[in-house]
Amino acid sequence: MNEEFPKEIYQKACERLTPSSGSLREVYAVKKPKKYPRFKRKAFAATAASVVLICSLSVGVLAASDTDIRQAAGEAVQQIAMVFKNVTVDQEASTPYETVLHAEDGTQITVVHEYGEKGEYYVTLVYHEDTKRLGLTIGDKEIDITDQLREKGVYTQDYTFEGEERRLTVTGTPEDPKLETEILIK
Amino acid sequence: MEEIRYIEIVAQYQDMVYRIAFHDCRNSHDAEDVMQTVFMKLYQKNPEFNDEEHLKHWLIRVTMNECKRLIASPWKKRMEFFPEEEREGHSQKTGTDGYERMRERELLEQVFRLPRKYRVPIYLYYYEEYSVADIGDVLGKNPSTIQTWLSRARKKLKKLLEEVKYYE
Repeated sequence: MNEEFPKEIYQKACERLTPSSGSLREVYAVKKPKKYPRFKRKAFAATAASVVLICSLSVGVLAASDTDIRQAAGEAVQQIAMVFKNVTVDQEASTPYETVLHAEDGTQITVVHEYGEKGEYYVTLVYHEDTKRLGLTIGDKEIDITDQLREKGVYTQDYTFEGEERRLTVTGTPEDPKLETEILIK
Repeated sequence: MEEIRYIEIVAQYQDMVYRIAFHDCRNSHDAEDVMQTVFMKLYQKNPEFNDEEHLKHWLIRVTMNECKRLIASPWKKRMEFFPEEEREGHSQKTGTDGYERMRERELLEQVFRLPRKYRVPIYLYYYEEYSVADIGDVLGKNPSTIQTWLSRARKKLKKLLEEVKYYE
């Protein structure tokens, strides 16, 4: 093979060829329509890799040691960052409505296949370890906010969930971000 | 097929199936249609696989067959290398990142100008890092044929890149 081929550039270019989240949702919902939060897909794909999940909560605190990650802990708007490394799927415990994962440190995580009753999982941050990029998911759409966060140290966006106007604010760095949301009262 | 196993397979191979389809069909809409059809077939037919490589080969072959069917269809969508939203995102990039993205995009555009029979072998060889023998096995071709295709593809690509002054 004497002719040169720009392999490295080609590989990087191919890395960026990924299907839309909308089309993937249809693939995952092959039996019946379901809402699959985007971070759930990444958790499956990263069975031997690191997955960083940062969930925005409108109510409650995620207790990582509990089986139900929506454990209520109050009425105030609270946020929590959860970092799970080397997650694996527990096939026996999982059902079509909940997927059970185990983190390396023994933490059990249950992913509920919906956005949450109060939109707890409508907004999430997903740090992609392989590409070192930070994605912000709002519903089924993911936006790469790495560059903006790195440049300005903050990223804000207003969005609507079930008719309610909300604002999200991301601060920190792509490797260590913090996410807060608030309901806008007009 | 158990749903958990199905989801694991999709999560692991969705990008590969999509990228192969994209190389064959050359647009994201068709590539997504093909991807959805491939995984739907996987779920419905629930074939038995000897090992992971067998599964991977099956996915590649079915993807190629679905692309062939789609391309032959009178309802084939128009050709478009990159979706609109990606174009918009690309135009916002500045600095080193923007330049690198432009180079990657330019390279992919020229790869997509290669004859159809070369594009997927290029992808399997340079991205999935399959051997010539394995590519021949998956595509049902003689390894020497694959070798020839890759060589011709490289020559043609070099010419295309020179035409657009890629190396300047």
